[in-house]
Amino acid sequence: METLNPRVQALWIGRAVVVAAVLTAIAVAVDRFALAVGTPVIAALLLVVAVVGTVHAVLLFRRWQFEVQDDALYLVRGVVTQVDTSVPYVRVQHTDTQRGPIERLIGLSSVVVYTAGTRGADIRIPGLRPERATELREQLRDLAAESERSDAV
Amino acid sequence: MNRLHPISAVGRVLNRTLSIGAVGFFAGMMLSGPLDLLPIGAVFVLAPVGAVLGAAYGVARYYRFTYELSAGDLSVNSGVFDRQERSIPLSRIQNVDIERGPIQRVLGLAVVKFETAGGSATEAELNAISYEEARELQSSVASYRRGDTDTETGTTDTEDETGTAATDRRTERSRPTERRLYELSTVDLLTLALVSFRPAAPALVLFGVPFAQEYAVRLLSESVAALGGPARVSVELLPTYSTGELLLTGIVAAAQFVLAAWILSAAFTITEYYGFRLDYVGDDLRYRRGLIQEYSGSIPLEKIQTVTVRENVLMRRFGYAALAVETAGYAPGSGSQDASNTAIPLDDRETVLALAEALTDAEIPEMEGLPARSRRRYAVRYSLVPLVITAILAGVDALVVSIPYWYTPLALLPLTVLAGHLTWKHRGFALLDHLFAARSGVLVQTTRLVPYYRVQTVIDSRTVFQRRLSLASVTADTASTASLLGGDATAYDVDDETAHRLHQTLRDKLMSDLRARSKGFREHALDEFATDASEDPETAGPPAGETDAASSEGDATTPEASQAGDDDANRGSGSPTEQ
Repeated sequence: METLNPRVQALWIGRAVVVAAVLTAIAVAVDRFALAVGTPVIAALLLVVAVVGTVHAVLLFRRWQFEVQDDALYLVRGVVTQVDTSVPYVRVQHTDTQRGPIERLIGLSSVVVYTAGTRGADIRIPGLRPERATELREQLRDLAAESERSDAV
Repeated sequence: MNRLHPISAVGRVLNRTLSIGAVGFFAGMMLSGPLDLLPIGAVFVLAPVGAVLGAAYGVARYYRFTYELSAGDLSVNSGVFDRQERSIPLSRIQNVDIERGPIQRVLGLAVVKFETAGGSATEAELNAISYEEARELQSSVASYRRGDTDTETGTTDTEDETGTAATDRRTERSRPTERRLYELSTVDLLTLALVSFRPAAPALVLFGVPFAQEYAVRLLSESVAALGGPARVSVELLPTYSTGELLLTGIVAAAQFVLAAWILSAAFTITEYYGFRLDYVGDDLRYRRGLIQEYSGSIPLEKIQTVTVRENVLMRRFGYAALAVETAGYAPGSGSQDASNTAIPLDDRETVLALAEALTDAEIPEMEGLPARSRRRYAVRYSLVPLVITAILAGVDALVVSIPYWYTPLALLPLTVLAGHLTWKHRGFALLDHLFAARSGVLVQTTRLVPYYRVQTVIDSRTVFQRRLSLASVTADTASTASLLGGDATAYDVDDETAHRLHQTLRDKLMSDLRARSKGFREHALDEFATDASEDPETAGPPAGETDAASSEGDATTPEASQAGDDDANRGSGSPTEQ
């Protein structure tokens, strides 16, 4: 089973910090204009969100794994709710590689696999090195095309 | 290229003339009145100018809207300012629906809607064309699809037979026989009206009350007085009532509201499902229903993703059920989906199951229930609600403001434990030869049948609590849009080993059944079902009491409840036992 690139933790922790900052800003605004909350409470809020976010990011990284198996792409992910997903190649409609601005900064990329399903409509594998992402995307595309020929849906 | 029917154009042009004319009128009023930019006479210029512009636009739109069905494609060109040219391959069309309102029925018109699996809105809508042409379009789409399969099998046939035999077979196939699968009887329609719940009904009653306020209040007063309450009910007098009188008024008001909503809901159901019938034509299912607004449509069998059996509490009590087939065509939440994909709105359970089994060529067994230890989860999960509420109230009572009887939510505990138990009891799944069946729901028990070759992705999920108890939930994702509303086929809270087996089976069977399907395995047993139906012309569908006819065909028997020890639940073509 393949794991993600460790740098993706930085991405997730960064997101948690941003969320914490936004919440703190809201708390400060509430404190200033609505009911008095107090600086210790705001500081505690910021700390708690940041810590929880960091722990979650680390656990999520530890959990995230995927494997290109014979007939399907298999993924294992999730912290609170663990989700194992099998995406049969014959069901893959198309594949994308995507890089958001922060991902680009960190030097990572994601692969998105699209199916006709509803719950599993787009499956995203984040935190891959760009070369690996392109490689994976093309590998999946080839596997999907091959399965189409042999299984004739 | 064809245009829409001129009569519908007249209506539209008139509509536009009036609306743009009105815009002109109001613009003139604003500019000459409050804004005082133009003399009052401006209104008499702007309004007619608006009307003329509206008419011109309406006419232009009519002339710009063209459609054509040819060479495997439906092309629709529309738009005056932003032109749109849409091309839909016929093989991608999921459902073809025909709607006719009362006026359209009088004028011999129909609105045709084509649905594909992509996008959320209806892909192509022809509003309106003549009814005969609508029916022709429907058949053309269906026969194109049949023609496709014919060409494929036709070439292999000629290897075995002489040329004439093969051509004969082909011409035979190009004239599809229409066979009645099901008809909704009057009794069943009335029963359906009584047991169905239309969310629109209570909402309408609520909004309608202000309009019929006097009548409603008078009705309430009279009934309350008749029951021994105060002589007159009105909002001003409310504070003067004793607790008993208030309670009485409240109960009577609630009862009348429920009754009104129920009657209205029944009326909606009757107008929607009047004359419901389901036919098997070629490779399609065709339905027709409706009293005032007529709905009809075709559902290609090859586009059916899942087959769903629904039984709400009332239906179960009296042995009824409803059947729906799901395609990839509709947007989630769109009202048309529920009704347009109905195969049987209501009938006795045996009939519904028989058609479900015919549609999937399977025998629906008893479901494998959930492990006993998962029941705890449900009891706990549901009990949390009153416990949390009580805790919050206790906290508020202690710290902020005193709340009398803060512990009352605890009284709900027995109810929530019961709800948890019932939810657990009503969940189950089964793995058949070619089908995955999943059941859940107490108020509306839903059994979803997913042929393995329709499975898209397989998803296992485990929450923290499930992990502690070594449980997991396994979902077979499909392309049917119902999944988005939480209507997917899931085996809930099964033990880890079963989950693993289930996940692997779904994956493996998906591949093997897809391969088998391309070599042509039987996807449904509708031919036998339709034959049974035609053998007994009096009752529609296989008669409930006479399962002999069905069982002699060997199809519609349901095996007895599985033995508890029979874990490897590959049921299906087990020995048919007594019906």
